[in-house]
Parts: sequence; C-alpha cells; structure tokens
Amino acid sequence: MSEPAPSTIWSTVAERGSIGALRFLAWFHNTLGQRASWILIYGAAVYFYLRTGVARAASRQYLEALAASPEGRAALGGPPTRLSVFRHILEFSINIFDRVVVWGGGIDAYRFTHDESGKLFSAARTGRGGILLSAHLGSFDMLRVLSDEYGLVVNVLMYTDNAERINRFFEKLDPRSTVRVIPLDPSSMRTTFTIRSCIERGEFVAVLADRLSPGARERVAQTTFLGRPTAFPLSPFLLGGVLGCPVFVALCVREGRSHYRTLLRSIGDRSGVPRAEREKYGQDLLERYVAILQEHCIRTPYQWFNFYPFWPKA
Amino acid sequence: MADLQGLELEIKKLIIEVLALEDVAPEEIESEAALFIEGLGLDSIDALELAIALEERYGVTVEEDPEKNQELFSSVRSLAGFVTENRTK
Repeated sequence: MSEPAPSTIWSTVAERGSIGALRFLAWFHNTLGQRASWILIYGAAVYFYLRTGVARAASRQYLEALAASPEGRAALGGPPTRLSVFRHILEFSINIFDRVVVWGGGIDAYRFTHDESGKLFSAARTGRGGILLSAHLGSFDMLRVLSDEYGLVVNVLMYTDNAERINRFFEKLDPRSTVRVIPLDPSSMRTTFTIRSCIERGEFVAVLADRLSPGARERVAQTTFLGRPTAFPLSPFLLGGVLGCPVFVALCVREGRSHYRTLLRSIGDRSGVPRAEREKYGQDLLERYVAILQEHCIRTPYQWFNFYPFWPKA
Repeated sequence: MADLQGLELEIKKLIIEVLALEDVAPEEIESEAALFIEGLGLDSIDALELAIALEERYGVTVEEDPEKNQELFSSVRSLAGFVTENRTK
C-alpha cells in the first residue's frame, strides 16, 4: 500500500509467480459475482485504512489540495473528511481487485468505452508509433489489457531489475500479450536508444510521467498542479520532440461497476522541433498533461493513486 | 592525424550546439574525458540527441546495442573514431 506503483505490484506478483491465485480470484469473481467480491474489496480497504498511516496522510493531503479549488470542492461535495479518505482507499482497493481479476482472465466481465482514441488508432494503423504519457490515476493496467485487444504493441518503461521476469510472467499469463517492459536505467544510455527503436518499429512506449524516480538524478520540470508548485520529471516530455513522434495522454478510469473508460488524447505531434525549442516544447506538453490530470482529478476525484507525500514540503 | 583532430573539434562544437552548453568552449572538452554521467554529466536523452545529430551530419547509423553505445559515447575520441570509420557524408 505504501508504494502502489504498477511497477512494484507487477514485480511483486511476478516474483511470487502466483498465477494460480490470480486465476482463483477471477474464478471467485465470475462464479460468485460482484456482490460477493465486495466483501473482499471492503475487507482489504478497511485493512489498508487502519494499517497505513502514510497512505491516510497522503490521501488527505491530495484531497485538501483538490478541495482548495471550487470545482474540486464540488467534486468532493465538501471539505475532505475521514470518510472521503476511506472512500479514496476503497477506490484503490477496487482498482487492485479489478486488475487482479483481469489478470486472471476475467476481462469479459468488464465493459470499456473509449474517448478520443481515434487519433491513436489511426496512427497505429499507419504504422506510426508514439509516446503514451500515463499517470497513477485510474488503472494503468487496464490500458495494458486494451492494447492486447487492439493489437497495439506497447512497451512500458519502468524502474525494475526484473523486466525479464515480469515479461515472462505476462507471457505465461497471456501468450498473445503484446506488452513488454523496458527497464528504465538512468545510469546507462540504454533506455533512450531502446525507445527510439520501438518508435521506429511503429510501436508505442508508455511511461508513468507523474512521479520523480526514487533517488535517480534526472531533469525536473516545475509546474502548478492542483494549485501547488509541483515537480515532474522532464525527460518523458522531451522524448516526443527529440524523436519527432506523436504524444498522447493515456488514462483509463473506472466509470462505474465493472465499467472502465479509456482516454487517449493526442497532445502533440511535431517533428523537426528545432533543438533550441525542445525544452520549451517539452514544458508545453507537460502543461497539457497536467491540465488533463486536473480535469480527471475533478471528474473522478478518488482515483488519484499516489499514496505517498506527493508535495513533500507542502 | 591532423584530420582526426579537426574532426574531434567539429564533434566538440556539435556537442556544444546540440546540447546547448553555451558556457562551455570547445577547448574545454577533453578528447579523452568522459562525456556522460561523470565528465560533462550528460544523460541518456543527451546521448540520443547527439546520436541523431551525428547521423544527420555524417550519415552514420547509431544502433541500439547498449554495450557498443556505452563505449561509443565514452569520449569525443571514440565518437571521432566511429565517424571516421562509418561516415557516408
């Protein structure tokens, strides 16, 4: 709970290799139904809520930032309370449960709708790859499933020493899977050249661009997010300009029971950006990305899943 | 040998231009010194930008191979050697 990044969860699950447990949960969900599943979901949420003070504090910090704007306050229906913190953690519990069910092969129980995805699918049809900027908002994992369904090749960048193991795990889980994990290694030149090769093959490269990497030296961009000065990693936003490829914001949020909505919005498609302007173009992309995050924090206020102090000294 | 030195200077100028190191003079970059992480402290986006610029200027192809690249981008001298061997323009 303290570190709910998909990378960590993927590593953990892949390490334990508990495909049997995933299949059991999917079976449980499909056989006993959503109502029985709520027992597990609520149970986990209560446990998380009681056990993780860090997550409660982080949730409150986020909800307070959101409630500081009139739209955010309206979305929450008032100032944050202990109940809203619980609701936030409950939403995370639902998120994990759904993800596990889908991993276990239970995708048929879910309905997906798509927003603004035309540009991405048409880029994919013409063999043009692109950068997908995602966030710890909603379910990154549902995007993975979707890419499998539509035959998009998606490479997911993440900090891990276990890329090979995670890749093997997903292959075993679904042999048709077209998602691969690329290890992000800031201490070598490997990552960016791998990204370029993917884009040149017409594939997509997804990165969670809302978190600074733990302990790594990297370029940082400052902007205002939910009314507070916030640091974001700059590199993901530079790639589009350097490689001259389309850039999309890719999110998948839960709309209701077993219903997810994907948003794949094109935020930039410039090639031949002069070198002197690349940093500026990167900053522009960051601003567009942050605007979309804020829009979704208001639309689905409980699906922001950064359960750690997001604004360290706020 | 004079050619190689000329090429090294050209590459130093290219590095400064591509990576907008306005406060660095070409003479300050040592031909054998490390460029990335240590040395000039460039990162992997810088390496990619530099690779693209070298490809445009000299018609070389920088591949994905991480070990080769680690060596290739280790210094101006290794870049100059690579360009000399592989240039098509």
